[in-house]
Amino acid sequence: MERRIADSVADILLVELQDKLDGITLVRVETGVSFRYNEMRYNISARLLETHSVSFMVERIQHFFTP
Amino acid sequence: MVNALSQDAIRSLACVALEEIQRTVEDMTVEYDDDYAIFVLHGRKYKVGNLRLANRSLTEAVTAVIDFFTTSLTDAIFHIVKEELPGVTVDPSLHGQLQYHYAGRSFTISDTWIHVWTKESIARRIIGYFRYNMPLERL
Repeated sequence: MERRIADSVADILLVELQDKLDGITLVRVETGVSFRYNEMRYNISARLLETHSVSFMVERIQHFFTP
Repeated sequence: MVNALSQDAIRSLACVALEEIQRTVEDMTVEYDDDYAIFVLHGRKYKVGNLRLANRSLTEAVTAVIDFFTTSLTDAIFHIVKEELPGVTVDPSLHGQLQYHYAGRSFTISDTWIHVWTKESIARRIIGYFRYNMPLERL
C-alpha cells in the first residue's frame, strides 16, 4: 500500500504546489519523489508521503523553496 | 488544525482513499458535502472531515474507514450470536475470516459475507447452524 499511496499523495502535492510555486516539477525516484524548483531539489521518501499529512508536506516543501 | 488545502485537493485525497479502501471493501462508495467525505457501504455511513483528510496521513484515513466497516460489524455480529448462544467463541483468522466455535463444532464465515449480508442475516445463519444443525447449503 505504501508506494501506491505515496505516488497518489505526491500527485496531489504537485497540484497544490503548482498554485504557489510556478514551474515546480515532480520526478519519481526509487525511494520516493523529488520536487524540483529553480534548480533546487527536495526529496521526500515514500514512507514520509505515506505517514504525514498533505498540509504538513505542502508547508514544508513551500518553506524549503521559498524560505 | 488549519486546512491549507484546496477543495480539489481534499476531494482528490478522498478519491485516493476510496480506491485504496475498495481493495478491501469492494462496494464502498464516497459522497461529499462541504465539510466531509462520507464513505458509504450498503447504507452505513462514515464521515471523514476535510480537516482530518488535510491534517492526518492518508494511510490513517484509509485504516479508520476499513476498521469501521469491518471490525465494528464483526463485533456486532458476535454480540448478537452470543445473546442466543452463551459460550460461543470466535477466532479471527489471518485471511479475513472468522471462525465461530460452539459445543464442539465450528463454523467459518468469510470476509466476503460481511460485506454482502447484514449483520442480522449473518448472525441468524450462524445461530441456525449451531442450534438447529442446519446444513450449510440451506443457510
